[in-house]
Amino acid sequence: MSAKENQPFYFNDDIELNPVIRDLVDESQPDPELSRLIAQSFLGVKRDTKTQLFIDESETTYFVDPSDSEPIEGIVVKKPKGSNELKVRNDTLIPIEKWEGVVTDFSTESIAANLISVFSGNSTEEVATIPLDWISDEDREYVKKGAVFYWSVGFETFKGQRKRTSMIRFRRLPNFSKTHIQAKQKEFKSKFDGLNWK
Amino acid sequence: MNPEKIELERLSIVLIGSFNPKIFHPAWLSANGLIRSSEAETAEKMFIHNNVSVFELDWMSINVTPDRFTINTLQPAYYEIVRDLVSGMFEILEHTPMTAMGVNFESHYGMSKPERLRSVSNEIIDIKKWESIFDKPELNSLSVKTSKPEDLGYYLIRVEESIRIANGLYIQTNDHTNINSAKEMREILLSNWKRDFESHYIAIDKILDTYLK
Repeated sequence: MSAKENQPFYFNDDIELNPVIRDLVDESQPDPELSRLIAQSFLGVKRDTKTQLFIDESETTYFVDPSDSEPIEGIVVKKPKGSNELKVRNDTLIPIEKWEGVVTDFSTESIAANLISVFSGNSTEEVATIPLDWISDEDREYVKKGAVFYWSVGFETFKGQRKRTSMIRFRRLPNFSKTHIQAKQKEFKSKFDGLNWK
Repeated sequence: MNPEKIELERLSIVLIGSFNPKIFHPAWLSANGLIRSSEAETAEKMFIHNNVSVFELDWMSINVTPDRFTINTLQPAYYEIVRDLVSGMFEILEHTPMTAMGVNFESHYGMSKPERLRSVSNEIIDIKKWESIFDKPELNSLSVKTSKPEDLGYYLIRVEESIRIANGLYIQTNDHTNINSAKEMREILLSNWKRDFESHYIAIDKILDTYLK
């Protein structure tokens, strides 16, 4: 391959890159580090290897990963057709009902919860018992009284087939450090200490 | 079953302010308990650089530059989860300067027949007046800005013919709010959520009721 090493990115009309990233790339200024990062992020070039960028005489862009013998060609994500195109995954859950729930009790086998429908717009609570098996392993540490979760029931479409499915996910709040909590306690204390109660 | 329905949706929350993109990393979200650790490990299209942070999980994508934070989801089941994630991030980064927030809902509404889509498109731009001036006019994109009761921003409604689904009408509502801090952003995001969510669907109903003759 006859090529110029470490040249800046070359773009043509067939190449689409996230506009934010594209704005970073100065086509007149080579930036091998940025080139390598884009190749690793979007072209499947392995991380922790010294990827090199080439542009050959036909101005095709190549990324060469020393651990592979074959070069990887150009940026090949298709250009969007227009502003309102949305790329949707096949496994998107389309909810036909969605609830916000609050855990009222739990055991080793199930949780009891009060549910409010997100779609219905009214605030009538329903009561439900949900098997613990329905909750992902990574969310089980959040199962406690008062915990908030979201439960969607709907369908996924894959290759024309519709499948009923359900998803439960617990609300996650930031894990604040002890230092942060102590600083906040101090801040509130100083505010309350300044009040003159009558 | 109603043949006319929303077939595709997206939520995006956009914040304008001053951000440090490098902070917004899947590992940082996981370390702070905001996403599952398995999600951080399987993030895709990850690009973290001094001036930009971009990555995708199964259910959302994040895009941060020094002056703009954007989070998107195409999965309606995750709308509240995205909202809580934004709130959680800026509860940690509580001193992030911010000036504006946009909560955007987009829907592609499938019409049962091409004639029905044509009817709405023609009515919404008053096609007869355009036909008196130009040859073969048609709806490309229509944006309408309206005021908000509190005078803290505006609503922007955009209507187009969908390029994603056949006989589809694309409707986007953008609730733009001027804000002064991350704390204020969180308060407004959480307290106005139900109103923002419902007003998008009310807008779709009103547009169809008004223009579908």
